[in-house]
Amino acid sequence: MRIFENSNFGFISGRKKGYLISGILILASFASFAVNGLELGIDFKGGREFVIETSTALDATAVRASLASVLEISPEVKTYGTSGNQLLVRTAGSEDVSIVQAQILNGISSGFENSNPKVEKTYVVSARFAEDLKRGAIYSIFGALLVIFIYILIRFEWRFGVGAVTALFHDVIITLGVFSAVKGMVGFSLQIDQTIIAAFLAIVGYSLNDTVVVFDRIREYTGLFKSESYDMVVNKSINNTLSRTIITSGTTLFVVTVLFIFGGEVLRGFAFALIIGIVVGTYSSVFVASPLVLELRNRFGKRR
Amino acid sequence: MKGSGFKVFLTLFFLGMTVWYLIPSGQQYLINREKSSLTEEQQATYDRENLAHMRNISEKALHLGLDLLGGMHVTLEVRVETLIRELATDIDEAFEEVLAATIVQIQTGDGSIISTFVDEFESRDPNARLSRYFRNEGAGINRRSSNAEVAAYLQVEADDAVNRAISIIRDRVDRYGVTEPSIQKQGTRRIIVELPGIDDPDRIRGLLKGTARLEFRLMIDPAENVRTLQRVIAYYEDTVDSTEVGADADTTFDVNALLDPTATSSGNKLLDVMRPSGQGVIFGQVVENDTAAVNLLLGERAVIDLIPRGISFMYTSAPVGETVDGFEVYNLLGVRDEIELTGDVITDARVDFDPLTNVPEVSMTMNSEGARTWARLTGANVGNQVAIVLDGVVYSYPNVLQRINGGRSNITNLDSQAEAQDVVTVLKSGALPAPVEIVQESTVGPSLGRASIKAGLNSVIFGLMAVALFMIFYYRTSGMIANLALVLNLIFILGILAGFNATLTLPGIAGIVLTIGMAVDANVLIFERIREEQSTGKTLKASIEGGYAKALSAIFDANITTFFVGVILYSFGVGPIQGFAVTLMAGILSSMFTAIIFTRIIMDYMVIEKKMTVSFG
Repeated sequence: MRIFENSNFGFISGRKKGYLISGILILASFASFAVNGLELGIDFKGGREFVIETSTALDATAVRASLASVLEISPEVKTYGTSGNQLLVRTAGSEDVSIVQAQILNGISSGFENSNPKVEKTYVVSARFAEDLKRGAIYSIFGALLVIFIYILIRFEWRFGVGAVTALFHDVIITLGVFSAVKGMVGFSLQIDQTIIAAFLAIVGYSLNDTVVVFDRIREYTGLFKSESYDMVVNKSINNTLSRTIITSGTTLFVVTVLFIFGGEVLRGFAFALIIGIVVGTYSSVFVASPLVLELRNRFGKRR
Repeated sequence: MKGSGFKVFLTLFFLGMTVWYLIPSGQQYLINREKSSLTEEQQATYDRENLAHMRNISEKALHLGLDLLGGMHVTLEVRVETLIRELATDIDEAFEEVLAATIVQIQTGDGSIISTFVDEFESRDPNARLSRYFRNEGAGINRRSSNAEVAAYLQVEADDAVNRAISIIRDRVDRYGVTEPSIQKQGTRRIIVELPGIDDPDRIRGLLKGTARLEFRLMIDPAENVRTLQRVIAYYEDTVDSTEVGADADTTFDVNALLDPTATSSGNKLLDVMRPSGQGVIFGQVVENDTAAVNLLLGERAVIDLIPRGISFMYTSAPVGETVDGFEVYNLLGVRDEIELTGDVITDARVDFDPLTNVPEVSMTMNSEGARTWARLTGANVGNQVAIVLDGVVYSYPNVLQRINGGRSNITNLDSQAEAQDVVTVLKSGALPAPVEIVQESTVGPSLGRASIKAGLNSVIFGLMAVALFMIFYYRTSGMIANLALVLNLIFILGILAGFNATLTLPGIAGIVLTIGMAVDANVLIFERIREEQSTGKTLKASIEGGYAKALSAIFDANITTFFVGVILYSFGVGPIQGFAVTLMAGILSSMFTAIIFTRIIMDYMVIEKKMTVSFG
């Protein structure tokens, strides 16, 4: 079977439409940041999280109400996973973890008869440690973008570097925008934590992979079709790598969807980020990174 | 088939290495399977008989992260700022200000506390000398020592404190009995403790943080206790209603009326939260919820002046009763500040049971120097009470009946045998040189860990199946070759993880799943190129050659950049995220190898040696 063999879409002639779509998506993302905001996980703001397993299925809102009276600060309570008898309790505050844990267990067992609450998982991050994690996350994202820019600068030229990094910003912003927009509408946590940062870097890696393959073809064709216009060269490169772009996105989308379905609660947000990121990343290597190289070349010098 | 010899050799070499590194993991799997068919008793015997062998294997086997295995991961931070204060031989207001500013600054940075402290100090007064605060002839710090010398001395002390804390914590964990714990230093002042299979995080928290500052102190003179109590009560009586009490407070103030336990609150701020006692060394009785309020009242400057110098108040560890609504009541005792003996002199401690009540207690043996001091102390204080203080709480305050020779003493009023055991553990391992704080903690129960393993395995299997089916469907024969490479790739990744002693975490498994999807990319690039070459009319052999050659630069550039992302993720990430970065990097390396070298061997063998036709779909 073959798809997009000898395809000849006018990616370059229609690039303005791509800019418009990307522009709208980015603006919408910023609008969503302003209205909806992003929810930081306890990795980056500190706090405590407990997963409580009970022998009977309990209603999260009822548990929240009964815990609000025993805890210093009213906690956040959600159903966790799909088994139906696990609850996620998240609370801020400064008292000793052991005390909070005991208060939660006592609160549930006295409020709900025969519930037999038992702690399955705890996660505690102090404010100071969260600060360090946040710094590490910011360093790793910008460090990754810088290293990528330098590498592309060395292997290609600066226009490609700018094109690639712009496309990566584009991908991360739009994926974050989706996170912000659907926050609270889906049945799993979309808090920005360390795992999500790892997902973002994986998206960066993936999208770049895609972009570099097209760039490589542009580099090759620039030497090969000296008489053709650069527009043509770029368009041909995108078209001739299109089937590979689609197939690799496809196989990668397969596996992250599998991860989303079978990977369990911990990886759900991670897999969700990757699904969005791979779609946006594939789009951006065709509609953002390569056209940008062309724009930059049209505007700044015509070096071949 | 020129050049193939070397490629075959490389493939066999890497496969051999991988198998070699994965053998212990296989052995461990077999042992666990064998053990699971045994009864618990047989398992224990098996463990005893094969301890060395099993430990050897598990050291070399593929490590599973605590998120899969279940267990507790704790990051501790040594409070260096407390150490600075303790090292200071002279403390004034300026010193306290600098220290407070330092603590604020290090909240938001990861710089060294010592250099932050010194910088802060010098920025306030460039000519000020640190040596005036830290004079210590033994460490060579005198009046003329430069600030740099003092800073170096503080740094050495701080590093030493962290290292000692590590060995003490390791000792405690070993005594507690955790299989395969891991205790590592991170940065300058953090300690990472990983404890597989822990299901009682509460106890571990206490064990890790426990300073176990054991002190033997003399107590307040009972007469003095009553006088102090009267003065303090009178002070709060005065502040509440100076007009009423003012006139006769000094002369006819009737303490006995106040000591009447049946009396209700009188509007006196202190008596609202404390029931006064004055019996022996007992200052008063406080309900658990009110201890903070009482501490605040007794800590007022004017009240401190009313309390005899060298006396502090401490609570008892065990409640003396309960209020009607179920809150526990504790005694507040007058204790002398001077520490007569510390836990340093304890050479041995063990859990004992009171012969009459069978209540657990800790009996301790002191070294000869401690025994001498203890004998002198008890001898001089027959009829008085001695407080046995652990971490600022009075566990017992027995009446000294006679001089105690031989350095024996015990701690009673412990909650449970577990607590007694923990006190013994902490006492035996020694006191931490500076307090430690838990800055991050995660505990995963064993069933949640098992669920994660299952979820991860399912994802790998279904992901692999989806990709493999697609590749066969789309590329036919060459797709099957790519699938072989994919499976080999998976084996290589596990081998790399085992060989580099890396840990497989749940995000790590996610990394493997992602790699499955991305690993075929190199083959897709090659196969698409071969198709392009074929469409120009080249022979199969020439197309394969051209396809591999032309796809190389794209594969190389695309993978190197992603590899860099993995390196960065590894350097800044923590714990499980590093696991993701490791599998991502391992996946990139091995997928490049399998896609470029391994598939080429098969292709060349089929096309050149066997003269077969390979379909590219």
